[in-house]
Amino acid sequence: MKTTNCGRITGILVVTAVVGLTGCASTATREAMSVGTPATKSYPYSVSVQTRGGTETSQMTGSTVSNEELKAALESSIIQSKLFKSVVQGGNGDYELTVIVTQLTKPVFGASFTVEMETGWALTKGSDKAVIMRKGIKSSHTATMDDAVVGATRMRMAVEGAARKNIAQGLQAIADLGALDDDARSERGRAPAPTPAAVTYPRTLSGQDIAAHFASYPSIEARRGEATPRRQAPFTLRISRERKVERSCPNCYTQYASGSMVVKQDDAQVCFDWGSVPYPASGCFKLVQTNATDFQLRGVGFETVIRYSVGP
Amino acid sequence: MLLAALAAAATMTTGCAINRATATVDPSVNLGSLKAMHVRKDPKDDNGINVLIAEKLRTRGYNVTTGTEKPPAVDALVTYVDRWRWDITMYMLELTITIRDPRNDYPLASGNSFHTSLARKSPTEMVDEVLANIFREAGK
Repeated sequence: MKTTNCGRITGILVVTAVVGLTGCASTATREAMSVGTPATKSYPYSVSVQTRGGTETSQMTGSTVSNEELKAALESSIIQSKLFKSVVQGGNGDYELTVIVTQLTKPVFGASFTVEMETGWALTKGSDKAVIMRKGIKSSHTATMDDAVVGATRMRMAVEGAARKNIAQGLQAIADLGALDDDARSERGRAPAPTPAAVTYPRTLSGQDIAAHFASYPSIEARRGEATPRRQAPFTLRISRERKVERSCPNCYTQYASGSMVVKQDDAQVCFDWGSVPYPASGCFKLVQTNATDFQLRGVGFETVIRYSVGP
Repeated sequence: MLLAALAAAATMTTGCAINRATATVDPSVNLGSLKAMHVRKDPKDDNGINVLIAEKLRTRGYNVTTGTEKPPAVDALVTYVDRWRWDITMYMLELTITIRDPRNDYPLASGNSFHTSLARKSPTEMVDEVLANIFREAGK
């Protein structure tokens, strides 16, 4: 009798453990799929969002991305990133964004779950339904046992991560569009941006150009311009949207440093403050473009020139 | 021992079975306007799924080629992902077929069928089901 009771208790514990650990699959949430990073561009238009191809999570499907949660995550990401002026409901926006989930590949077993997601992003103009962008976006994310021990939770986190990366890539693709930018300029009564061929070098960038430049190139591989090669320790600048900067310099005594950056638009200068870290020097610089891809930060005081190149 | 095995199963698996068939079509796309399609063969496919898809599309009136090399002028590129499992015999667990814009790989339409062992279907039936769902969705 005692053995029977013990067996029953063990059985109940086992069932409880299995149910508790596997749990029920839960849907990917809008909060975890949202992207908070500000966009590199901001369009003065409204946009409406549609989502298709999502599936509801159930015992049969496992953790998935639902249309409703994906739409909410997209809308939240657009608002937070300020990519568009506003998000409107019901297809009444200046532009319509349709995101279709075409594939969500999930493993069924493993310590690490890698989820692959593919979506189709279509941006159309609200007035005449002209297609502005059509792009397939692929993303993947791996959740490990460090993220969650329970399999169902780990799977949901992998799905959410893949969706979050997908949204980030899609929004970046829209920010990279030139057509919307020209459209925005003509609507404000301004001429389209001059072509690079019209530029003569060297040219000193205006304050507005400096701000736009660092928004376009948030990561810069630079080196200080001393004549002595061994003193030209290369470093990488990473500029966040909050104008915080990080400097990574593998050959320096202090390999990692963070500081602040301010663009003084009226003075056409960019100023860095690295605190006690001496390399590169804290101070204010003029930004001079010497050819299509090369730039120099020239100190307005005694700061040494910092040189770097960017992609065309 | 039993506890350890069950705990391992609980942490290593997602815990639930999957069985579904879905399709999505870009509302701005008219699949009927497409004439020539190319089914791009998955290099890992040893089961001739590309041929099954091509044959099924031909019965719907499309001019279809298949192989690893894409011909220069087609209206749509068809890709697929097939996943197989073992349960007494090998069976196709999942098939996803995507009809793409050949210029930029944008997915114009996509269908997916997922059937676990007890509800397994033959590859021909899976291809039929996925394409039927895509064209049914496009006809809405």
